[in-house]
Amino acid sequence: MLRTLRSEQIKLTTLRSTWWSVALTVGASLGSALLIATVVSEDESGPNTVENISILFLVAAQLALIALMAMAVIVSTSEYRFGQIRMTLAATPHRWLVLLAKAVVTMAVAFVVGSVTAWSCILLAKPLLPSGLRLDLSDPGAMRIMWGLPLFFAVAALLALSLGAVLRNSPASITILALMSLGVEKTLLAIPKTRDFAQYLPFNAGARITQPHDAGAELTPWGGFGVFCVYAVVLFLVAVILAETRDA
Amino acid sequence: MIEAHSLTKRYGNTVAVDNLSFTVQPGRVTGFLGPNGAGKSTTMRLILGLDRPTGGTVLINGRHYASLHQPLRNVGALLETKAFHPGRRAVHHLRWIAASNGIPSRRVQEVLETVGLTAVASKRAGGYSLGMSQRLQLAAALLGDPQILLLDEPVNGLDPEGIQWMRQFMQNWAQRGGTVFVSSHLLSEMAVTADHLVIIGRGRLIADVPTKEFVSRSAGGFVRVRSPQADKIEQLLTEKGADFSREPDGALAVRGVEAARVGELVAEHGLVLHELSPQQASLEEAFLAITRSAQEFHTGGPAAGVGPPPEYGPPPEYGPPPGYGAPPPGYGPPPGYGPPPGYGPPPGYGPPPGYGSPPGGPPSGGPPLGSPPPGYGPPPQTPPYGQG
Repeated sequence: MLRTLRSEQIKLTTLRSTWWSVALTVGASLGSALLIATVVSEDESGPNTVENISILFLVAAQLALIALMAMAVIVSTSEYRFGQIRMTLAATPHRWLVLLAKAVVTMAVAFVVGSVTAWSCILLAKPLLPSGLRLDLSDPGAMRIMWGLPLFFAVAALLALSLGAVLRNSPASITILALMSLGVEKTLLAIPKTRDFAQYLPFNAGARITQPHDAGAELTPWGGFGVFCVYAVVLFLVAVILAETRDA
Repeated sequence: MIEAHSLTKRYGNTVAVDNLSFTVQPGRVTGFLGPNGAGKSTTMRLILGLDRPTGGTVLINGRHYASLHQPLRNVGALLETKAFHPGRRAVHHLRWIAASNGIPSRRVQEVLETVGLTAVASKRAGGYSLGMSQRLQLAAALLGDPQILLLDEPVNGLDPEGIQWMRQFMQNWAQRGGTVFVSSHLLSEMAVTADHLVIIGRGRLIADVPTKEFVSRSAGGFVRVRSPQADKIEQLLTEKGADFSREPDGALAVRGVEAARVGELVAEHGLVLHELSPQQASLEEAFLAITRSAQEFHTGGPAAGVGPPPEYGPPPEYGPPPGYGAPPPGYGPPPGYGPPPGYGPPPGYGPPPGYGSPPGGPPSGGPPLGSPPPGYGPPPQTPPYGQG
């Protein structure tokens, strides 16, 4: 397992596309957070820390996430696109082990990227915020949302990697993920009739952990994150079963 | 040692590998021969456990590939021309492979040295030429210092120098007691590289023989005799009990008799000769003949009218000799058998339209298989099956 992990770690870190995705994720998140911090006014912002952080994380949790998921998709699909999977499986014939190692390494990278994103956004944006706007990390819920972003990133990476392993095709996988997270799910959430059902969709549920607690919603932030984890784990198991049964 | 027992692989209705049994012994280079699409690459993938066999087993030193601990230390494989990510530097490509099997990273430098890529090791592999790619793939195969090498068309795209280098490399490997299983569709290449041949056609075993034996049995020459009095010479030869046949242009192909002896015989009877020339049948011709006969079985057409007209066909001893493991009589796939559209290789794979049509209708697309110009073997080029 350790050897396979090391091997997958070398694979991930020796590709340029990995670093582009990471730079794009952090850059877009940080840029947008700083921009929001400078334009937000005291009366536009919410009354508490969690709400203010969630506003700064808005782009990170919705848009920058796509770049990170693209990286995770490529972890799976690049193997098939270039026939490298044959070398991978010749080296490690246990396919579940290969997928598990990929998942661990990719989730670890996503978690680190999420942490860097979250903390740099807050620390750099804080001086730019209007003085009356409350941003105190010792407030209740503040830590939940600060660690919620990296957790959300990590599980989204698992979902993306699994989808890539099932479809074996980057454009299709990335398009589906982008459409779901940015289009379909948000639209259904905005329509009153489908709202109740839409909150259980993967990205709507998962993003709850980066949002303030909503007393009116059925799902709590952690509950929503739990639902998201279930989606990701189920898809990962599907990917493992398919990998074990399909020809490479 | 590699042992395949009744190995079978079906993709839908298409049988890629059909009840294939053979053994690859250490200490010699075993050539795996067959036309494109014969099932060589599929067999290689089955050996490595990349594809699951529909039936049968293949064992490496008595074990399934998947159960090998650190498989790269047992088997090194060069599978496709480019099984690496083009954006990754060559040295990194080797490093992840080494890490996966706990191979120390100094081995990366060693194998780069062996294949002569040290100077370009930090270049991105996508920029490599075909020859460099093959060397990189070979380096990957050598990382674990394995005892067995599986090489799928390793000389594809190499220049003459590279081909010679690869050939010597394989032979040295075998001399030191290693096992080399190398596939190719070129008999001429295998004839000078391999000690033993496993020949397949349409997924079935055609021959499993020492190269020397195959070459001496297959490549027998003949004497071409052209004369305005061919009929009289024919009569003469029949009286002497010589083995001969008529060429398409009316010339006689005499086997088992030296040209000088034929000349003397003709002179004794005062006959006129226009041509008396010894001919060396090419290995390619023998190879095509032997694989073609296997394919005829598989196209399931009527025996008469399939393939080349009789006088175009190879002389009797060119066919698979009895005991070569030719398909058992009576084997006959259902009518309409053949790869379904869309299977694997690009269009053009499989018997080209018109293949197996009655004499006089050469197959469209590609050189007509059964009609080499008189006295010449078919050109040693890829048969018209498309790439596969």
